[in-house]
Amino acid sequence: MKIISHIFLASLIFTLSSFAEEPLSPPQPDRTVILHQAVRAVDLPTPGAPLQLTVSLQNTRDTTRKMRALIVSDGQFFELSSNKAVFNRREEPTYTFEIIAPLGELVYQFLIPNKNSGYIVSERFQIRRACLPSVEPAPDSIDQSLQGDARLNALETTSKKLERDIIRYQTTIDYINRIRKLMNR
Amino acid sequence: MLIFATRKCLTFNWSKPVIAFAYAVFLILTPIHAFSQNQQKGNIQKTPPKTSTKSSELIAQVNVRAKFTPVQASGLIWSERETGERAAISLQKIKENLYVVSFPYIRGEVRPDTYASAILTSKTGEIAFGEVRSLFGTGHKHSIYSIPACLPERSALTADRSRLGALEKLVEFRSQRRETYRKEIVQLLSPTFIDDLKRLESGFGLTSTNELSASLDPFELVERLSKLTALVEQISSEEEKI
Repeated sequence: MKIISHIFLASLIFTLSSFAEEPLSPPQPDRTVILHQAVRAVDLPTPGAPLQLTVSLQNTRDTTRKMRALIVSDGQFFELSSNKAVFNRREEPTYTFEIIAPLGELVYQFLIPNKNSGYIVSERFQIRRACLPSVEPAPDSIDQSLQGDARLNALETTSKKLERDIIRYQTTIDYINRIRKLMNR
Repeated sequence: MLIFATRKCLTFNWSKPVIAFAYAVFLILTPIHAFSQNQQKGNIQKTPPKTSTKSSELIAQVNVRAKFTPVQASGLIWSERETGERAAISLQKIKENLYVVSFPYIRGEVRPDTYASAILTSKTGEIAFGEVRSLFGTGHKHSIYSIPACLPERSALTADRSRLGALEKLVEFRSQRRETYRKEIVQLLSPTFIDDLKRLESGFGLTSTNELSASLDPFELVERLSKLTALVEQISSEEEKI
């Protein structure tokens, strides 16, 4: 009777200890690193002009992972995603997000699914202009009474403003066409 | 007993606690009174807010778009654990329908998931919510409208008057080009398409004080359409997966 109870106890301990064992092959950690060269404030184009954010991955050659970009532009949040990467010159999977340059501040962060579970998250990038540029549209005409240097100044300022308005309108047309295509209009 | 209590009251030195209480009431009421006075007068603070009042107290700023004249402003701070309201210390009018609310928060209450926003209330009870900003990290917590405006551009051509004719032509050419694009946008944004876009904006919670139309200034137009495009592309990408 004593032997039976010993055998029962030993089998119970064995059964319980087998449940406590670690799995034989633990999942390999995902060593993917998100690389991004942050945009410098001085390199920000005029507000409303297209701005590309390029981000690449190290320690992986998988180009099928979906990259997400969480963006706060001038305080307004939105999300972009890119389903497929292309290889850059160093053969790193690279994603490109196209946004518009903010008026004053851009904060963004990239996320990619971890191979095991969860996400690999990049650092948070924050770019803030040193001064707020004017986004006022160019006037339709120049004061005809202006002469000499005053006229030259007005013409030069107006031509620069017009150039910016044109960039903004071109980008607007591109966005409208993209929405129309997606909405089958 | 009554005589004893009366005698004790009379002999006790009330001056210290009374002065301390009066001082505390003064400290609490002064900023509240000043803020309500500013609101009543429509007196909007033009000076940038203080960066800190105590060593651990910081100032958050949130932009709020509101179509009404606000009579009350407050800040909101929340995380997964808690939500709290903060009395605003200033309400600044930036331009028509755009305000910046400043309110204090304590460094110690900020966690990675701590966010801030603000609420403006009108006389009739209308409410406008501000943008949401993260309070975590070392980044800027002040509104972009606290950034100084860039200096007006100065011409480098003052000495070169021979270019006057060329510059006149350039302005004329660019004006025509802008007009061409403007007409194209008017054509693309047909009334039915505009209605669809407005519905999308309200569906996504993209609140704006100006109605979406081709006559918006070029920056506001491109800004709003870029966000709409991002959302529509996001949804269609999710639909493709399904």
